[in-house]
Amino acid sequence: MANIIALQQVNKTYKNGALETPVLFDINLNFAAGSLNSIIGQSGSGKTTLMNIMGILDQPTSGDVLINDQNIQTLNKNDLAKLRNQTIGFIFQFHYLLPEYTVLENTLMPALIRDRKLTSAATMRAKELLDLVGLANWMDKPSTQISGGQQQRTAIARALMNNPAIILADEPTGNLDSKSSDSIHALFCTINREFKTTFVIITHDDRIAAKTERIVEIRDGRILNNADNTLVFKNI
Amino acid sequence: MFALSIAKRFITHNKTQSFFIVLGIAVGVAVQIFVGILIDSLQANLIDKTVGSSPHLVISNNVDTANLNRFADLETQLKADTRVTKFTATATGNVFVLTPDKGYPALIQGVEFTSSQNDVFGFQKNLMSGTLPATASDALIGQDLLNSLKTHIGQLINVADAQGNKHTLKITGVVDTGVLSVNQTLLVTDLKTAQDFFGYGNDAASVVVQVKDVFNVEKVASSLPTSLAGQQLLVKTWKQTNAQLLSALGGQSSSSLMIQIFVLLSVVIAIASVLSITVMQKSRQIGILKAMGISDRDAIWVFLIQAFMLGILGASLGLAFGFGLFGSFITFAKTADGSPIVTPYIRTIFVSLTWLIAVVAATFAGVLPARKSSALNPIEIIRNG
Repeated sequence: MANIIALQQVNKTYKNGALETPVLFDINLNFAAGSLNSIIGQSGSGKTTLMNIMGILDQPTSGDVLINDQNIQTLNKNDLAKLRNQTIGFIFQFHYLLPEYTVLENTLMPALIRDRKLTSAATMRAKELLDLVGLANWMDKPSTQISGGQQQRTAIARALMNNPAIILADEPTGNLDSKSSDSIHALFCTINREFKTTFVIITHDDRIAAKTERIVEIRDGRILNNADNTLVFKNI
Repeated sequence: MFALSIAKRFITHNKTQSFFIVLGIAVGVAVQIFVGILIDSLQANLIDKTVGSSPHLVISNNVDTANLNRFADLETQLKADTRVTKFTATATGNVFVLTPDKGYPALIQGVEFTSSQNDVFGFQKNLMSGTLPATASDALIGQDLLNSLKTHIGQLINVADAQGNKHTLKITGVVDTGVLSVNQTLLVTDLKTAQDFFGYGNDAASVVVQVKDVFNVEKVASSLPTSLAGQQLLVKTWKQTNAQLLSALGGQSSSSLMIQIFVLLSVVIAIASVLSITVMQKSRQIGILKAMGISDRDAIWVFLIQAFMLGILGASLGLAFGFGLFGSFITFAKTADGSPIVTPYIRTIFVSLTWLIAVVAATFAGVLPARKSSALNPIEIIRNG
C-alpha cells in the first residue's frame, strides 16, 4: 500500500537563544494509506513533536516530510494551511473546541474554512458525523455545555469533517475515563475500517496501542521499535 | 465573508464584555464630543458677543473729512461676495436731544433697514421693545438714553445739531447694545433721515461690513477696490481697531485646539488599549482555527473587522451620549435670567471627524494583534493549552 506520510532523515532541534535542545534524531518513518498506527513513548520522548511535524504544524530542522508524496518544504504558508485543512484532521488531548460555537458549528468549521461558506451538503455531513459519534441529540448545544467525553467526540467529528486522508490524534483519550476512552478507540477502529482513513495515535497507554495495527515506539527522540502489530490486532 | 462571520460571532458571543468595550469607546467619544461642542459654542458665543454686533470692515473715503460717494457700486460688489454676510451704508452725526431743562448729547446712526442683510449692528437682535424704523423720522433709542429722557415708545423727541438745525424724531423701539456708553447716546434712524439731517446728500460716511470668517477678514478686505469713482478708499478691519481683543480671541482659539487635541489623544489611546486587550483574548481561538487551516490573511481580517465593528458601534453610541450630555448641560446650566449658559454651536465637520477618528483609531488598534495573530504558530496554543 502506498505511503501517505513519509519522514526522511528528520531532525528537530528547539532553539531558545543560545540554548539548543535536540528532540528528534534522524527519523525515517512511513505510514501506509488506510493504516491504523500508534506511537508510544514516555513523556518528553519527542512523540508530540513528531506528530506536529507530520501534521505540518511544525517544521523539521532538517530532513524531508512528504504528505501524499508531496514534499511540504516546497509549499508556502497558504498551501500548507490548505493541505492541513483538506488532508489532515487533528484530535488533541484537549478538545480545543471554539467556545463561541455550538457542537454542530464546531464540527462544520473545517468545511467553512475550505468552502468559505456554509453549504447544505456540509451541514448534512456534519450531522451524519455527529450521529456517528453519538451526539445527534446534542448538536445545537453550545460546545461549553457538554461533558468532556462529548467534547472529545465533537473534536473527532470535526477532525473527520473534510473527509481527511489522515487523522493525527495526540493522547485523544488522555482526559477521559476508561469507559469513554474505550468507546472512542472503538470509534477510531470503525472510522478506519469504513472510511479507510489513516490513523496515527500518540499514546503512552500500551493497552490502547495494542489495539492498533502497528506500534511505533520512540525513546529519546529515536525510533526504537517499529513493530507490525497486525497479528495481535487481528486477535482483539 | 468568512472572516466577517467569525468576527461577528466573537463579538456577539460574550455580549456583556462586548457591551462594556463599546461603552468604553462610547464614553471616550462622548467626552470628546461634549468638550469639543462646548468649546466651539463658547468660542462662537464669545466671538458673537464681542464682534457679532459690530462691523468687521469699515470702508470710507481715504480723505478724513470727505464723504463716501457712489457707495451703491460698492454695495453691488459686496452683495455678490459670498464671504460677506451683512453690509450697510452709514451716515452719522452728533446731536443734542432737547428737553425743557437740559440737552443730552447723542449720536445719530443712520443705517439701511431694507433687509436683514443690512443689520450689521444687530439692532433687530438687540431690540428690547418696539419696532425698527419704518418711515423717515422714526428712530431707535438706546435704553439708558431713554431712561435719562424719561420718555417711552411712541413719543416724539427733538434733536438739534451743532449748527442749530432741529429735527423731530419718533421713538419706535428701544435697543440694548450691552455697552452702557453706547446705550446712553445712541439714536438710530434710517439712512435717508440721517443723510438729509447732516447734509450727506446721496453720500454716506462709510459702508460697514460683516463677514463669515472673522479671522480671515483680511482676505475680503484685500479683494475690495482701492478706489471708487475717483476717490481713494480706506478699508479698516476689526483686527486693526481691536488688537487686544484679537490677541485674546487668538489665545482662546489655540488653547481650545490644544485641549481638544489632548482629549482626542487620550480617547484614542483608551480605545486602542481596550481593543488590543480584547482581541488578544481571542488569540487562542485563532490558534485553533489556524490548526484547522485558516490562512494568515483571514486571521488578520478577523481582528481588523472585530476592531472596526466595535469602533463603529462605540463611536456611534458615543455621538449619541455626547449630544445627550451637551443637551442636558444646556437644559440644566442656565444663567440668572433663565437662558442657557451657551448657545449651541455644532460644526458637522467636527462631529464627523471625531466619529471617523474614533473608528480609524479602533481599527488601527486591531492592527497590532492582527499582525501578531498572523505570526501566531498554532503549536504555541496547543502546547500551552
